[in-house]
Amino acid sequence: MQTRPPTKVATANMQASAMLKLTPESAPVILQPAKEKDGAERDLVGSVVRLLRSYYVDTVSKEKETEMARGAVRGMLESLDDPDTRFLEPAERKLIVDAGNGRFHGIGAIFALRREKVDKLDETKLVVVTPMPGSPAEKAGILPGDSVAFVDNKWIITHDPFKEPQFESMLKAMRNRDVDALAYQKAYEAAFKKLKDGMSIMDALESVTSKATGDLTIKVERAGEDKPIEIKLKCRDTFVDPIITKQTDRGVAYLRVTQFSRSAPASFAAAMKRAQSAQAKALILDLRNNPGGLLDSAAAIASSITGGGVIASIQTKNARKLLKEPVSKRLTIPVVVLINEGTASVAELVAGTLKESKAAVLFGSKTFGDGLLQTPLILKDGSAAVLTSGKMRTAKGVDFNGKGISPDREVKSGGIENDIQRDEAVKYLLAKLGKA
Amino acid sequence: MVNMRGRIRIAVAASMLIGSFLVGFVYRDLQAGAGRQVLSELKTMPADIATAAKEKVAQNSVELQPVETYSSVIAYVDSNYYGTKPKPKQLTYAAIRGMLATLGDRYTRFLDPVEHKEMSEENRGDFEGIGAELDTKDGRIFIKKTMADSPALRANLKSKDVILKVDDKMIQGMDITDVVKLIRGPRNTKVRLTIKREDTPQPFDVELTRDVIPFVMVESRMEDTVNKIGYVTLRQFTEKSDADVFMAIKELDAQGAKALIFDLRGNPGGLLDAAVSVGSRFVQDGDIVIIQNRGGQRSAIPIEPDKRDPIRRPVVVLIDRNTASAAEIVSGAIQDHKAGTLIGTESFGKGLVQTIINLDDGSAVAITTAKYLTPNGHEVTPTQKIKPDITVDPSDDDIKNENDVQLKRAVQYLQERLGVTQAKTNGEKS
Repeated sequence: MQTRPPTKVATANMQASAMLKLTPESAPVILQPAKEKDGAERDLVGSVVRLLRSYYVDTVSKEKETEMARGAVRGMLESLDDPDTRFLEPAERKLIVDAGNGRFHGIGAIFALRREKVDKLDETKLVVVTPMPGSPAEKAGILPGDSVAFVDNKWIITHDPFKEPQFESMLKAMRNRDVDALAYQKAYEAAFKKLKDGMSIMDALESVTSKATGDLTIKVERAGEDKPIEIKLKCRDTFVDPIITKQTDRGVAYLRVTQFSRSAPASFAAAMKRAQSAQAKALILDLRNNPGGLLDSAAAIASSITGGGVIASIQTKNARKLLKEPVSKRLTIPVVVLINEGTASVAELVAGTLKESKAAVLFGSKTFGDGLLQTPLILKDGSAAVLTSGKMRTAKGVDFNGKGISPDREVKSGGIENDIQRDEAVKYLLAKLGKA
Repeated sequence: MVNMRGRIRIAVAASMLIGSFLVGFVYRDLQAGAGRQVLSELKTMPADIATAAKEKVAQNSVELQPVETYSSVIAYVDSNYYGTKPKPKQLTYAAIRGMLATLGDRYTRFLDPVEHKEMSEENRGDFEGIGAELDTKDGRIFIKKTMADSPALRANLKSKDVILKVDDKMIQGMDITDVVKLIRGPRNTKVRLTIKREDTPQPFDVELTRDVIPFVMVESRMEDTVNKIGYVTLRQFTEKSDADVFMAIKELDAQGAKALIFDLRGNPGGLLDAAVSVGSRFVQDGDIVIIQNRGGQRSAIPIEPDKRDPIRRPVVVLIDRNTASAAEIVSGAIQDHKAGTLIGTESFGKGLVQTIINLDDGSAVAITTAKYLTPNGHEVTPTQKIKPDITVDPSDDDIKNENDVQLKRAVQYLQERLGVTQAKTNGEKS
């Protein structure tokens, strides 16, 4: 377990919750020996291990034991039935570390698992949080909120086919003997085949986020579309800088934060300095399609605009604490923050806190709505147990989890070619500066 | 320490396998009994596949110790997890399940105290309840049959009595399996049923004290009364199977049976000891099965001579795709020793033996400890199954029309063996 700085909420290891958002690693969390009270249960697990060593039909090798240990962690975390709490194999964790360093594989997007109830059916969907700038996903027109339904024509197992209403009613009819065995068997086989031919959601996630090269065909479901949309992509690695800037135009500086990585605050400060030299009198801070990142990085950047103070309120299992930054000079120029449904996690927090402190005006559309924090427990073999460890609220305590942050001014997206949201922000700021 | 208090029980586990529940399902529902295990198997199956699909190859050379890792993570979850606090033991059981899943052997599995109790009941061949078979029609759940010497019989419950309430809970619209769960419970506890009987105008309450009820695992009849061909079916190998099969055969003998059909279709297995005993009723000499444990050591289990049946008669064993494990041992032994003719389809193909070991808190683990081979040394695997001597595979129409072509073929075969004409009994029974 990590040691906590005494005066501040320990945020170094806290991550945004949407998947693949872990940033460069902090010091590995060190394993603690079990507490005394776990004795009996520990012995239960110990008994099973010893029985397997002595009696299992095949020899239990050291490698097998490592797999068993990972299986134990995976089992425990899955039993919590929380899509954000999960076990990461060493290879999976590497993808996340890479993503935190701005290196994306596969189609170059950030995903989240989202639980939904559709027609009484529990679905877990693989949802695109953000296509990264310049990635195959962005170029192919994948949008935040799209949910991946098929990968290379394989159905992603988003729900248990045996819980589909058709099958459930067949099962009930069978138990009450209103249908013959054959009809039931057919329904059973159909559901079984669907499951067998399907791809697990974790395998699907892996194939869209890890492939270095090659073609991939996916089908996505999109709000407002009746049928899944087929999209063909060429996978390749995408490198993304944490801060992307455009030349200051008529006194309006433009900074896009692609994610709150460890290096983001330094890049942000440097970009702000360049904007100042270019005589910037107003700022557009673009947090659209920003999936989040490190809470510390987000706090540092927010603080450089608000002039320090409370940035967030963090609720952990046993405590609720305020995340405070030292008082600094408040940014005095007008700021517009651009947000959309791809603005998630700590990016939403920043938007919400800037809005509350009146340090900025929000333009765009409502954010993703993910206010949960995760902490990874890194095991010595390179795997990790990622655990939902808390919830963040804005400085004034607004809970945006599941709700999102609404803009002050709703501006619809004009697509990649036509950035209406940005144009509106420019127009607004120029008016403020008296240059309309 | 390893807790091996209580006995170690060798069982060729009676797990209901994918697909095999169909047959098991129907009879289980009729019995106010074990529908639950079938259903829970059904529910756990998708997760099973998901786990299998997820399994990845270890690529890191650093080793982890299962117990140490478990302890660290559980302590970490305990002090840091923000979501709903897990129920006691939930994480420990899930850890054990997760650990066993990595072995890639679906038969090596953890049984929590409830599952363990259910499995013990099944292996013992009894359960705790009131001893009534329930059935359902037009959304009404009624008593189909009361079992001999059961609380249901003693309370004068009658066939066709409709159950309205269980312990004052309305059961209208409930699933029959859920009603069964309400009625079942530990012996010496009470349950009150509200009954509507056909000739009685007012519904009335009956209070019953639950008791230990044997599962009906064996059924027998004279299939061909003219030619005296007896029929015995065994649904699972429990501690009582051998005695029950023996009784059934003796009764048929008393009626002058000249040939026997032994039906092991849909039999998912059960206790190894029971398989050896039942096999000994059919095989005259030699071994029933060869057990090969870890390291490849083989030991043959011979017949139990005191169970040898002095009467020689033609025997047909019916097998199908759901004949598994202990049932494959018996059919394999009968085939290898030419003690009977196998008719039907290929068997399931499960040649593994599990040992069930009790753990401290009432839970247990079933661990695959050995493989078995038929007396002639044939392994039984998913690709090497027990093959019938005469293959008879029912068509979809046969299943739909409940036309038991395998049984008909068995009768016809035995009639030929007995040298009688078949015309008389072909088709509908008279």
